[in-house]
Amino acid sequence: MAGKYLTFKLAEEEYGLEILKVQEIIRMQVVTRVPKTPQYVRGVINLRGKVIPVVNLRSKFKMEHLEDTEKTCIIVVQIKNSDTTIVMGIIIDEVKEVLDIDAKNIEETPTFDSSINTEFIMGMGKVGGDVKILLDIDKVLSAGEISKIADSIKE
Amino acid sequence: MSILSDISKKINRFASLITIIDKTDLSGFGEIQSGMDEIITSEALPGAFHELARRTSALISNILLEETPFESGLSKVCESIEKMQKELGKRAEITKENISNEQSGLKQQPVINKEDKDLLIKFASQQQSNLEDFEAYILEYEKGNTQADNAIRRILHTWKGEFGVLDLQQYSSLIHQLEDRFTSKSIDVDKLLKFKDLLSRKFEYLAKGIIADIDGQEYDWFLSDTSTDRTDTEQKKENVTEEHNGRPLNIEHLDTSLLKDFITEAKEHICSAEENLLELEKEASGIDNINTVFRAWHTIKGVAGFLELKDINQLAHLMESVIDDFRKGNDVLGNELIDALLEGNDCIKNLVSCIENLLDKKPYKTPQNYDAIINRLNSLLKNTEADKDKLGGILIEDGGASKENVRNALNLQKDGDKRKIGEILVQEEKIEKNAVKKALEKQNVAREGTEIEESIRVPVSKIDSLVDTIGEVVIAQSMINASSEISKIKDQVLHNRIARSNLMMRQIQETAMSLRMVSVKTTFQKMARLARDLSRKSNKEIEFCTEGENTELDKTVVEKIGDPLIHMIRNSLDHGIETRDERIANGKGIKAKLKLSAYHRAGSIFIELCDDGRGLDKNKILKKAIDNKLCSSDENLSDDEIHKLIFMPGFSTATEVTDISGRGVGMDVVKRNIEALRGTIEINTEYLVGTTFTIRLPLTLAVVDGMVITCQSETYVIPTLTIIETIRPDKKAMKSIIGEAEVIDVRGELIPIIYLALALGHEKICRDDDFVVMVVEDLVGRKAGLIIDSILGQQQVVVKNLGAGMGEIPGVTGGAIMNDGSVSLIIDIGGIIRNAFNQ
Repeated sequence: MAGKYLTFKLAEEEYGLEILKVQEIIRMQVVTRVPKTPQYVRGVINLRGKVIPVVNLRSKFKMEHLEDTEKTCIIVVQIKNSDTTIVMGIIIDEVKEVLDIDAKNIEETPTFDSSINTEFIMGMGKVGGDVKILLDIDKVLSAGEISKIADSIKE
Repeated sequence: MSILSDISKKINRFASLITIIDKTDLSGFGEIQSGMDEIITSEALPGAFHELARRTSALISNILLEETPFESGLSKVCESIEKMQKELGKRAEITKENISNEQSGLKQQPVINKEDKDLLIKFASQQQSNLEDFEAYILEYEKGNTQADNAIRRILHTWKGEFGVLDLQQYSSLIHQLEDRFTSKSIDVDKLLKFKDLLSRKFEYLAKGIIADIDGQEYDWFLSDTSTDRTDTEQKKENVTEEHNGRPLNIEHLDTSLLKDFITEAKEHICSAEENLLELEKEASGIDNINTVFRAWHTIKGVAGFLELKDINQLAHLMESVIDDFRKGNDVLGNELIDALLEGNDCIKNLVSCIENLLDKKPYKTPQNYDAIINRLNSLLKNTEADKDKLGGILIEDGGASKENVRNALNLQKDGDKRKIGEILVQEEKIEKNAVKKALEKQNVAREGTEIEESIRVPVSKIDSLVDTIGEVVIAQSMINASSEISKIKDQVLHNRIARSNLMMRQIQETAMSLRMVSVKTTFQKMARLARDLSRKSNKEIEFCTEGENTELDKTVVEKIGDPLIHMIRNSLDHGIETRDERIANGKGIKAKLKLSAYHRAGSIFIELCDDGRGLDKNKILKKAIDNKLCSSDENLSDDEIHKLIFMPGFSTATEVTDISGRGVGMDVVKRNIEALRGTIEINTEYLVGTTFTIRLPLTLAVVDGMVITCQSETYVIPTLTIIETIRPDKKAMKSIIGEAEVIDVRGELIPIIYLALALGHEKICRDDDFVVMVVEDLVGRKAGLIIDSILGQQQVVVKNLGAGMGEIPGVTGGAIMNDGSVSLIIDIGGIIRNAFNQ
């Protein structure tokens, strides 16, 4: 798990994303709403001629809604779904930095009571006195989920 | 232990059965399934085996019930059977009972190294077009086209060679025997077609680098007309494998990089020579082709000489001389000559592969037939035969004209006689008029499909990315054009330049789009095969012909049109075309006609399937539809509307479900597939005379003509094709029914209203007075009045999918990137109407 992580802020928490998953960071832009998708799917954007879905991470984690600010931006990530790679954008509050985290500084996900889903947390990274929540983005956005919900609406 | 060997025999039989199962013939599954059930109950086998058998049996049921797609299901069944074979093989070894002794032809493949594997993958993955050609030639051959005869032999021969090089002896030996049988005409067309199917399945494995064995059963099946006992096959095999040990070749003094360059280059030349030779075979006069072939061999000869590769040098030199002879016009290029040259070309190919092997430190072997080829070419030198493709040649061959007569006639022509060669011969009473006619027909057959355009294989992803980028450039450009600064420019010259660059840009875009276009030929070929098989099965003689095979369509469209066509042809054969007796009673010819054609008109592509069967029976359809509660008896339907009922899900007039069709899913699938391609389908039928289905498809899926509209301050695109009219109604025209549903009165026709905003998931709708009603129609002809806010304009947009992971959104076809760079959703009218009316 050791390696480079891109860290970002969401609400008052700091998260880390494996750098290899990150394709690019773009600033906030007009997002076209797509009907009949789950709440956390903000819509689609035009990424240099390709249309990609964009997910609001705050609402995915059921956090309070926040109006977009100057610092709000979209991290374009590549998600593995079985054997295909899917490009998606996630909207986050603010991008922080790229950090190198050693294996010895990564702790296992603490166990909470069963009501909290920790499945998509790979571990906790300790950097300086801070704790970064290291996300398994493949699981956060298990790509089937969006289309599954879309399908169920269609039925 | 005899139980084990019994079972293993059985499983081997299944393995061979499975290769002959296809979509239209599922009968083999029954046997396999009952076999699996036997295995489940057999106590001689371990539990894991039972489980595997149980799963396989369940899988087969699923395939038969159409719950599992045929292809993927079949490959899974194959896998399971293979697994069983392996497992049994292991068991047999442990118990010292060598199964392979009992099974003929089952031979272990040597473990291959990586380079060989790469070679294998490369070879196998490029065989698709050869397979298609092979199939097409077989069908031609069945019709009695003698040209196809040679082509088949050549393809078989090439395969044999290639498999030999790849050290897949099972294959090369099987093909070798097939070749023999084909030459002696002791193999029927069905077997050849099945062989193609087998190969195509095997190639799929091979293309993944998996060595797929041809087992003894398969082997025997193809050669089953004679008793093939093991020793016989084995000996034959040895004959093939046992290549004579050629002259030793020393390459140690050579720079390997030079050799490698030579190999790559030589391969290209060989390919181009082969291609041009094939063209020459069809049209003997192509001087360009001759020159290309000459140049190719000349280069090979030169480099081979320099590298001291004597075998290649000698052969290339000889072949060069032969073709040079011809080039100088000493005689006409006959089939025999071309065959010899092709064989020589193959031989060079083999030699080159041998050198490639040599680089991998494998022994170098001169191909077995090397000397024979050299001798043959030598004998051909300055002794070429009359051309069979030329009318004269054909006349000599079977028209009864003598060589001398033809030569004299040709000389007359040279001296300025304007008459055609046939005319001369007939007028001089050398031959019969009918003979000329026949020969001309034969010549036409031989000349068909002569044009082969040069092409490059490019991965689709590259083209897609090019199309994407160009789309972006176009958008960027229109953003510039739309900027207010541009309109302020007074300079006329600059304006002209901008306009010109816009024009060029559009041209580039069009060209880029055309890159994705492929001809429908392959699909049509598949249909020809299907029609043939079905006609056999249903005992209805048909004459299947195709037209406009070279019509081009977007690649994705071509891929998706296959399924609907299969259903339509099945339906045509099962319901449309009458039985033999019925046809005679109706005074029609015994052979029914089924024509599949494609053509281009008014910016759309049309695909037509036309039969001269019994046509649709309006009353029967109506009655059935009422019985199935698809419509009520008091509806007053027009003929056209009645005919369209056959597209309703669950509709079938067949009184019984046959294995060809009758479940009532077919035409529904057809309609849905075509709808998904944004096309339409029409029926034109006359009772007892015949039916024509016309599919109209957009030229490309990538671009759609759309009306840009707003709804709840969001922009959407509605395909223009679906829009009938737009109205700004006054309040009185809108009427509500039961307080909820609303209809609009359009010149007396009541059309149901759909609020687009609601359909697209907006919760509230505030309808101001200034709204627009757009009357739209889906493919089935259902109309609706769509309430929208305003219309912004009309525009061509590029259709993009909403990104993987988004899945299918009901009511939305995809996204379009607008002039300002934002994304607008393209509305799927069919989906919107379906959703609204079903709720």
